[in-house]
Amino acid sequence: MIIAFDFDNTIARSTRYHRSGWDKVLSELKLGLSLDDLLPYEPNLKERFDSYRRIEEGFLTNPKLVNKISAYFRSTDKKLLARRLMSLKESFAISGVFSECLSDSLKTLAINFIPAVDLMKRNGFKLWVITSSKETIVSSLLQKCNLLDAFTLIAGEELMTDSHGALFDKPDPYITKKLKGKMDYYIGDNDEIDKEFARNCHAQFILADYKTDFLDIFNKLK
Amino acid sequence: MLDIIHKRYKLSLSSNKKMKNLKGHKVNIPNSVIEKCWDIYSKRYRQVELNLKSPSTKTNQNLHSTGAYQITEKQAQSLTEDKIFKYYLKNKNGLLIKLKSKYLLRGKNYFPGYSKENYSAKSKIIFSRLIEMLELAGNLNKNTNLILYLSLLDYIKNYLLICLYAINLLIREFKIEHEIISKHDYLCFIKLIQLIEDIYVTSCLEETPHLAPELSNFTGLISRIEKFIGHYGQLLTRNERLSLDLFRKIRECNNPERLMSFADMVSNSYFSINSLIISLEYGGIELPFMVNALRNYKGKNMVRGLTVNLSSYSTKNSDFVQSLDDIVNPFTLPVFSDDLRSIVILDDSVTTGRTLERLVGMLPDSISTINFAAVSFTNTNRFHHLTRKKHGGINPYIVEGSLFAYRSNFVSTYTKSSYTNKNGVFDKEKYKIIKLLKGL
Repeated sequence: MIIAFDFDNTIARSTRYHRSGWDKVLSELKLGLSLDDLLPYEPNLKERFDSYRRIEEGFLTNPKLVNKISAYFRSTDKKLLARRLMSLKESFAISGVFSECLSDSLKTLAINFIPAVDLMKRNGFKLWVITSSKETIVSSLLQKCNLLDAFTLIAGEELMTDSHGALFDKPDPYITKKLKGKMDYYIGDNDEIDKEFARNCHAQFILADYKTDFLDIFNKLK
Repeated sequence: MLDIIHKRYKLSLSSNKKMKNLKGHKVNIPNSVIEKCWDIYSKRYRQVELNLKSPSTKTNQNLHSTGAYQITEKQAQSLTEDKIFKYYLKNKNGLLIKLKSKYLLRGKNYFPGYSKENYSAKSKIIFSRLIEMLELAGNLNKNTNLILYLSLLDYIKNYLLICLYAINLLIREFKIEHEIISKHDYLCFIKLIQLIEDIYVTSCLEETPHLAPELSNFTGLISRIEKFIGHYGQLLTRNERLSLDLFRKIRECNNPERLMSFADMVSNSYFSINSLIISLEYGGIELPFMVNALRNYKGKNMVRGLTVNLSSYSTKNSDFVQSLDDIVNPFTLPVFSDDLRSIVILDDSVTTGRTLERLVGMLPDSISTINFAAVSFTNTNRFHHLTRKKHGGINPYIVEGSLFAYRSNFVSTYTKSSYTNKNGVFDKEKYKIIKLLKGL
């Protein structure tokens, strides 16, 4: 049986890594604004809070900001700048994961996630992560928590992007074309996007977030 | 004129790439993450590698693929009256390698660390040659052949750098009981290295020997350095590992064209007035001097530079080296002034980034900017090396934001249990040199 998990706010309370990554980007670029100014809260947002669309709108419409960002990355191509901003944030987020103490990283994980993973592995389940976050950030946190080897596949934003650079985010089932195997369950925290994604991939959906006891999830699955 | 010089030596008139600040970024990504995300990391490494020159790129016909200057037999026939060539011929067994139709101007004496003799015999070769060569260099006339002059300077700076490494090692590891070498002598020695680099760069770029009669005045200093090293003879005989490593075998990163190209690139970068260059011994030992020589040539200010070694024989494990004070020559202390804000780290190459990470971890919080540049980089053919336990790979964000000149000479790996290829080779250029030396 193949069980796939969403990452952000499902198996890990990971928003803080993304936010602190962005805070460091703003500090590095000396933009003089806060993250809430550039990526403001949107109710009923049906995409990542730091999607490329939002990055372009937030960072790359104000000419003063564009000048600073262009000077830093030595380019005026907005699509390229959005990717460079994301790449900078990615590196800071990963650095944030590795620089904190282990106990803080472990506290990020969902309730009883580690024993649940252990039980799933013992029962022969194959475990995947399918997320719109960067694969490198996800892998870094799992490695930090000594869980990386438990997962056969980590599929992130990189795998959702085609050769022309177009991103096919959930609920688009694009990513399944690149996967060897078909997932039986998809576990996610978003009752709309993750549920639709599961349906599009012909998998059963389980609603769960980082406050869910994952031993209960295991008991449902076995 | 300068345009021609720049074209000939492929010097860049301006640098398109700016070094990014690596402060706050994880330098070494663990091996299991590299392995899991290899598709992603290898693509990013490849993008950088594609913009680097091949290590076999050569514009100077008088340069052998091992980095030695060379002259053909035909050229040699017209140089019989040249003082330098006469000196080489008189000592041809040590100073030259004769191939079919040419002479390589780096003989076995260029690599004294490679011989099987003890450190005392090696020391004798180094210092006797160094004194001879400084005297010779200080007594040349303007008709001296340029290639021979450059090769003589190449020999001199090689010996000086070998000695610098040895002095730094001894002063770090052993207490200096007597004032056989003073701080003044050490700083003079550093100035001599810089002087040789300056003369070398000027001669190279202006394609004419830039003579320096004052060089023969340094032989007294060299004798004092020799005495200093000899003073530690008894301690060295008790410490086999240290005595074997005192004079290193082969210095990576001693190809004149690559060094020049790299130093030119770095010297074009902006250095704030409160900057320090730190380079990693042994491969990077020449880099601060060469960068400053290019800066000097271009009329820019010199930047304070020092070399560090993260290996410690006293503790026998570089993991225990925690303070920068332990890895620098005490004569260069204090390393950090109150107004120091920016550091540029230089090395010959980078693969895992562990050494770089260790060094960055030792820098004080007051440093706000850390940049990195290395002569060469290739990681896409080192999968087994990077995914080996406790190894990992350098963060591609740092690679993308650093300066590199060439792809590296390192072979493709085939197994996690070895750094070499199936034939036991790690560094292709080093292998060629060893083959040449074995043939002698």
